[in-house]
Amino acid sequence: MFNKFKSAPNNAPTESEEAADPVAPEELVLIKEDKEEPAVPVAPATTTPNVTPSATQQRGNGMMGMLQANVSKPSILSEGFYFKGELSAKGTIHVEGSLNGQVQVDELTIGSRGQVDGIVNCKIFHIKGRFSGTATCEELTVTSSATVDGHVVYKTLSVQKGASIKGELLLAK
Amino acid sequence: MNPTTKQNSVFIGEGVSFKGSINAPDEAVIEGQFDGDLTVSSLLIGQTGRVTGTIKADRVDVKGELNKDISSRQLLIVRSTGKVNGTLEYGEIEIERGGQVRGNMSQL
Repeated sequence: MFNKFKSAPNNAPTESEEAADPVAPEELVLIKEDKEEPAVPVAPATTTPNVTPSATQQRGNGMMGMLQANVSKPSILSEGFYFKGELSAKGTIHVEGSLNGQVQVDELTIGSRGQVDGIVNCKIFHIKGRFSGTATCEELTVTSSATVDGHVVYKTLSVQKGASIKGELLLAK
Repeated sequence: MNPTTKQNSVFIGEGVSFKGSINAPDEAVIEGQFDGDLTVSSLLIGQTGRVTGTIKADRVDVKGELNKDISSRQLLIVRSTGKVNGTLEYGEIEIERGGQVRGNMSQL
C-alpha cells in the first residue's frame, strides 16, 4: 500500500491528491472484488436472505402472528351463505351469512349482516348482527346494530347503546 | 350543581336507608339504600347506592346496584361498576364493560 502511495506520487507528484483518490478506487475495486468474489455465492445468499428475512419475519411474526393469525384470519361465512348443522373450530369464525345450529369456537363474530340461530359456545362473542338462541361465552360484546334474543351466559359484558336485547342475561360464576 | 339543591328531585345520601315509595318529577340520586317503589324521570344510582323494588323511570344510570323490576322507558346505562338483577324493560340499553346484568330483558 505504501509502495503504491510512493509510486503514485512519483508518477504524478502534482496529482498526489488525485492519486490518493485513484488508490481509493483501487481499494474500492478490491473491496468490490472482495464483494464480487463472494458476490456469486452472496448473490444467491442475498436472495436467500430475502427468503430468510421473510421467513424470520414470519417467525418473528410467529409469536405475534400466531395470535394475529387467529384474529386477522378468521374463517368467514360470507353473505348469502347458509349453514345448518354443527360447527366446531379453534380460532375465529366470522359470520356474515346465516348459521343455524350448534357452534363451538374460540371466537365468534356475527357481522352486521350475519345471523346466528342456535347454541353457541365460545370464549369471545361479538354480536353486530342478529343472534337468537342460547350462548355461553366469557366475553360478550354487543354493538349498537345488534339484536339479541335468547339466553346468554357471560363473564364480562359490554353493550353499546342502541342494541336490542330480549331474553335472559346470566352471569357465569 | 349540587344534587341536594335541585328542585323536584330527591337525594338519598350514603349511609341513608329508605323504605317506602317515592314519586319525583325530576331526578332521584341514590347513594344510600332504597327499598320500595320509585317513579321518577331520571334515576341515578351512585357507586354506593343500592335500589330494590319497582322502578319506573325515563332514564336510569347505574353505578351501584339495582334489583327487581326495572322499567326504563328511554335509556338504561349500566356503568362498569354497576349491577342489575331482575326484570328489565328498556327503550335503549348501554352496558359498559364490566357491568353486570342478570335477568330477563325486553325492549319496550
